[in-house]
Amino acid sequence: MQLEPVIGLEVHLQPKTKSKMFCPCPADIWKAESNSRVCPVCLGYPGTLPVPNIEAIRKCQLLGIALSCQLAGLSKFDRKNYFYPDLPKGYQISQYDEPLCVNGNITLASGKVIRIRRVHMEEDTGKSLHGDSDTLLDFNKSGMPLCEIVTEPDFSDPEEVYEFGKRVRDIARKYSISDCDMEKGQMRLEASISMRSVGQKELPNYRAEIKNINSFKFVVMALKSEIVRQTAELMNGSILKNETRGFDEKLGTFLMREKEGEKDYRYFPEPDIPPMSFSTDYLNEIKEEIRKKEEETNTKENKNETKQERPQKVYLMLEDQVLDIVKSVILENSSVAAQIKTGKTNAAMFLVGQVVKNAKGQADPKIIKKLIDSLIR
Amino acid sequence: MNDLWNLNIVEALSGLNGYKFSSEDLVRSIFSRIDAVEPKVSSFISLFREDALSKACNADTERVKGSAKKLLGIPYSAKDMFNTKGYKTTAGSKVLENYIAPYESTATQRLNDEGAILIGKTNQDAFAHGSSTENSDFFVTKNPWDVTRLPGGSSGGSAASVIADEAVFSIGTETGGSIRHPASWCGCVGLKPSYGRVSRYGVISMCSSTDSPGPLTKTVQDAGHILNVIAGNDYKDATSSDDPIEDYAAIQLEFLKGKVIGVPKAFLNYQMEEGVKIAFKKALLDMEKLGAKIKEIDLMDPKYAVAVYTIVQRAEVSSNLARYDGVRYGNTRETFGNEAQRRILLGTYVLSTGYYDKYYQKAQKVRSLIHQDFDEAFKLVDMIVSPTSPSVALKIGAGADQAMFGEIMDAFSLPASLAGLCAISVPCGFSENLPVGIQFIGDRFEEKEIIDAAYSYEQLNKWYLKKPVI
Repeated sequence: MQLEPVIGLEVHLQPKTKSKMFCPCPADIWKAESNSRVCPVCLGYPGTLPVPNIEAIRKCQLLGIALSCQLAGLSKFDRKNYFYPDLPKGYQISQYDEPLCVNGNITLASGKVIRIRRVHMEEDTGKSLHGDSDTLLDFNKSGMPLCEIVTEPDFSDPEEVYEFGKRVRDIARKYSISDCDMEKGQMRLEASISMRSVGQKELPNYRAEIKNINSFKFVVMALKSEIVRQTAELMNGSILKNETRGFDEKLGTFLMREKEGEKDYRYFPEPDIPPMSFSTDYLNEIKEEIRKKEEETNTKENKNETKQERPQKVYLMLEDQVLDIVKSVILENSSVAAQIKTGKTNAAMFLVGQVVKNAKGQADPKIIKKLIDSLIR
Repeated sequence: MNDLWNLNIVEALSGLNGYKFSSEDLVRSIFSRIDAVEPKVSSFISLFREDALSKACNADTERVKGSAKKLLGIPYSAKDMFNTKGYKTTAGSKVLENYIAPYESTATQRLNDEGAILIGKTNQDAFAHGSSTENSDFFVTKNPWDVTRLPGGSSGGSAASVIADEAVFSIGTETGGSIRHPASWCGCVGLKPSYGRVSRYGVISMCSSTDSPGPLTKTVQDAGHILNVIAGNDYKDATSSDDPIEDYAAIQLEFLKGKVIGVPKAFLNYQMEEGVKIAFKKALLDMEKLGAKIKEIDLMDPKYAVAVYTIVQRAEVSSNLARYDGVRYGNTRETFGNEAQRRILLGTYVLSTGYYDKYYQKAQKVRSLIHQDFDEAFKLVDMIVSPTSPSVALKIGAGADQAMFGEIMDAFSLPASLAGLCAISVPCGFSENLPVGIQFIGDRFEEKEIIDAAYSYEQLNKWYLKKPVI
């Protein structure tokens, strides 16, 4: 039995803003003295109320457009309830069923498409500093804005995760959304990984979440070490369970806690913040801003082209050969094809990804797209 | 000079501005009254005698120099739900027994900015859970009309302090009836503004989607004066409204002439004391005399509002009380009283996976039906009236540790709370020497309408002239 990994990714970005997500505290927390960037609101004192930072929301929407997402006209915040000493309200303000952005994607150099399920806005927690005999709490980070990108489990190789992460970072920097300095905690990665037989369609019934990874190199190392560990366990007949793991560059991944089913966060709409509605004009402005920036960068790149000629990928497969694969992929994914027919054109990118995979990267995605478009009408 | 404590806001301002007495005289008089009656009534959790006197002296100096402050030198009490910087703010709860607020609520800040002087913080049901003030984690406040009875709640200390003349006015908070109910049982005026009219910033959250701070006063016009100061948009509260405010103290007499007043049949059919029914029916006749047209209307049975409120409020409470996790504020979660524990448990249950749709989601759907129900009613009538509470003040012990006591007592006030409407309770007579209250319910942000109506009605009988003998 040959196994392959199924990997999904969560990326947290700290958008560049002057103040925190729900209070006027300055957001320049890097190397600030502990508990010097706090106020009654981000300390969760009784009677305080959150007021959303419009700039942070806008940055999240810019990120959504830059990742080819659809922006929601209606959105809202929700409370995610759980207890932790560095979570001063006993709940985190996040977004549950109506995120700001949905259905995005990034196409990797291989032509493989990684689907992005959603991009939403939330607040960060404080920080626990565990000593030998006590734990200290620093609330500078409490209430900092975070954009969370959640992908579909579309990665089958740690190197793809590496490439995706870098692409997200480049995009966020290009549009001045976030500096993405990983050392400063402005970009954080969490990967979920499990193993399944090659060719299996369904997701395995377990997954390991690897938390707190603070570099692209480490995410690859962590995933590779996890592939080895899980493969060995499965080959030995073990049954793997849901668990949360940490990563140490010397030790590889290590168990943090086993997860007994899904934790119940008792999400409900945040009553302190009215639901948000965005006008078409406003949403178009956001799209326009990204488009303009795109143009500017393209012009710059064109000027530099003579100096940095980018290697063109050479595809070996002929169009007829590609057509056969496209036809079989459409047959295997008839429900996706049906979605495309109803106007969900984004779904086509999923089929492109499947064809690229079956063609082992030897087919030109442009040709694949053209063929899919001509076959599904 | 000894009975200055007797005065209402309008009278006190007139005396102060005419230099008949000073703010220091007024504050001293109030504290002499507190010394005399507080041992019997127990309205206050904390008192700030020295600070209040020094603020009064400053107010007197300011007045001589010329000041436009609307409440300069007027002493007031505030429910212990309001964060008052530098002063203990307990919410009536042991959990916050030693919590000193590091910041000021918007409502009290606005009162202080207009020169009002905070003299003390009043007792309440812990975290505002209840309608008796018997669920205070500290002590029971007594009804000034009969100290063997309850003041109502949860703003019971505020209502008692006003009718016992221990404060010229008070500020309370309402979630399901917590201003109107004690106002009714104590025989003072209680105004619950529309949701979003007065900022919630700095008010310890109970049910965030219905919490509304508002005044408890001796007269309707006084309530208008306070609303003038505390109403209006606040950038610190995302749910506060930018609906324009009006001059609520500029009262129109004979306002009721030609007004159509709705009486919900379902409310009259609800179980209530005979004495309350008689006083209410007399009030309807009085309003007809004043030219109003009384019209019976169909409104949903209040039992649905009771059910919806119980679920929504418990859900929000369970989340709002999560911050008292034992890490901060010095007390663990075992310190929560029985009622808070019950509400946390039920709220956690109705939000749990698998039950959310069955309870919380369903309750929200019915809540929007209650909204629509009122929207339809306000197409037919200018305002709605009903008794504020189905009973007069009950004996001490009636509300102690009773899980649904608050909801039963608040059956007539809950529908308006859930719909975010404004309402005002004013005395409409007595039953067995205990005050009975009538409430005027107005559409969202129609405070002006109900204040004017309540004033016109109030002036006919002037029940506020009758005071309890303590």
